[in-house]
Amino acid sequence: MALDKFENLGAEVLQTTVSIKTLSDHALIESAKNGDEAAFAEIVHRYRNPITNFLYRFLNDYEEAVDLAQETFVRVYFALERYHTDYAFSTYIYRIATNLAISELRRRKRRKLVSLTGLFQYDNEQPQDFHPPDEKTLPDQNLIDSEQSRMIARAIATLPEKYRAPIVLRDVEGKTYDEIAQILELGLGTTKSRINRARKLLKEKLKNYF
Amino acid sequence: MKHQNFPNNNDEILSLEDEKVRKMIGDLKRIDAPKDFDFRLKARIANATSTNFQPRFLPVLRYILPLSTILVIFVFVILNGLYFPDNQAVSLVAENIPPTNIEQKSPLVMPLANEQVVAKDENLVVEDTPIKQAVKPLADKPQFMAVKSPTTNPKKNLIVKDKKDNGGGSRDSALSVSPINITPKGIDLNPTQANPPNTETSKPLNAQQILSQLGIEAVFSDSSWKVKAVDSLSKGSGVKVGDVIEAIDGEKLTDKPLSAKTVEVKKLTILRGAEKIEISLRINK
Repeated sequence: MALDKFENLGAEVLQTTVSIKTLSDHALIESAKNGDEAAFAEIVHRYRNPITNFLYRFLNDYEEAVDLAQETFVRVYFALERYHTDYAFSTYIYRIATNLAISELRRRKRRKLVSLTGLFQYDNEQPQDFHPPDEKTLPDQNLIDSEQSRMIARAIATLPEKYRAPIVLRDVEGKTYDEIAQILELGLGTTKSRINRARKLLKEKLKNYF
Repeated sequence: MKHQNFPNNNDEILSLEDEKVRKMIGDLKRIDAPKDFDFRLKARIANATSTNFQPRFLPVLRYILPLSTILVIFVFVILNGLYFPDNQAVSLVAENIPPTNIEQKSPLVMPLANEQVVAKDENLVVEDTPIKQAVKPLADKPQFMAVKSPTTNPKKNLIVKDKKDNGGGSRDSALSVSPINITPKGIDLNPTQANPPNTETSKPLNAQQILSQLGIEAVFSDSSWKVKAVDSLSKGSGVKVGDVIEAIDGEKLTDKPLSAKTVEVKKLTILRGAEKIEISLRINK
C-alpha cells in the first residue's frame, strides 16, 4: 500500500517536471506569478548560461558577469507582476541584462575618472588609464586558452558601448536584427548600422589575425 | 566549439573579411554560469526580500507627504491673511511700546491702547466694561497716549467692546480677555499703586530749572535771563554765553514759573545784541 503511494507520487513529480520543461516562457512566468518557485527555477535554468555568456563577452570580467546575471534574475523576480507579454521573454531579460551591463560600464568609467591615473602620470607622458591586470584564474581559463581568443575578447571589450552591445547580441548570442532592435530599443536601421560599424572596428583591431 | 549556425544569418550579405570577423566572434567559447549560480541566486533573492522590502505605498508617500505639508502651510497662510487682516496693527502696537515700559505695564496695556484709539474716533463710544474700569486710572499715563494703533478701520476696534464674544475667531477679542489671565508674579494690579509720577500733575517749573535741564546756566537780571555758561549738552544748539533768552516755545520768560507743564522745549527765542534769533532744539534720544 505504502509503496504504491510512493510510486504514484513519483509519477506525479515526474509528470510535473516534464510539464514544466515543456512550458513556454510566458507560461512559466504566469506560474511564477502565482508563486510557483519551480517555474521560476526553470526560467533561471534556461537563461542563466546565455545571460552569463552575454555579460561576460560584454564586460570581459567573469565575476562581474556572474554578479550581473544574478542581479538580472533578481530584477526579473521582483518585477514579475509588472511583466507584460508584449515582447518575448528573452527580449525582456536581455534588455535588463544589457541595461545593467551598460550601467556597470558607466560606473567603471566614472571610477576611472577619479582613479589614481593622475598619480601615475609624468610630465612627458600622455595620461594613461590605470588598468591593473586581473590575475585571478577564471573558471573558463582552460577554455580561453588561445591567444587569438583572448585578443578577440579584448577587442570586443574595447569597443565603444553603443557598438559592443549589438555586436555581442548578434555574433555571440545569435539574435536577429529585430530582436536586437527591441532589446536595445533602437530602430532597425540604426541596429544594422551599429553592427556593421562594430565589425569594421573589430576588423581593424584584429587585422593581424587575418 | 563549433560556430553556431544562426537561423537569421543568411539574410545578410557580408564581405569576406566581415564574414571572417563574424566567424571569429562566433567561435568564441561559450561561458557558462557557475554551478552554485542557483544557490547564490536564491540567497540573493531571500536577502533582497528581507532587506529591500518596501511597501507599495512608500513611493506614493514620498511625494504625498511633502506636498500635503506644503499645502497645509499654504492654506494656513491664506486663511491667516483672510481672517486676521489686522495682524499688522497688533504687531505694530507691540513694537511701539518702549522696551523699558514693558515691565511697568501690566498685561492690561494692550486692551487699553486699543480702547484709547476707539475713544478718539468720534463715531464710536467706548462702553464702560469691567476691564476698562480696572485699568481706567492707567489711562492718564502719557506713555500710553503715545501708543497709536495704525488700524485704519475703526470698526474693527468695536470687537474690544464685545465682551460676550469669547468663542474665538478674533485676535482682538482674545487680547481683550487674555491679559487678565497672564498677570506675571510680582506685579501689583492695584491701580492706585500702579500710578507712576506724572509730568502733567507735577509742580510747574521755573525758567532756570528748564534751562538747566537743557544744559544752559542762566541768571535773571534786568528782567531777562542771561546765559552764563553752556555745557557740552547744548554747545551744538548754537546758544552762546551772553545771549539773552527771551522766550521758550513762544512764552516769554520771567522770574515766575512757566505756565507750560512740560519740559519738552522745542524752540528758544534768543536776543544776541540787537539780533533776535530763534533756535529749534532737537533732543537726541
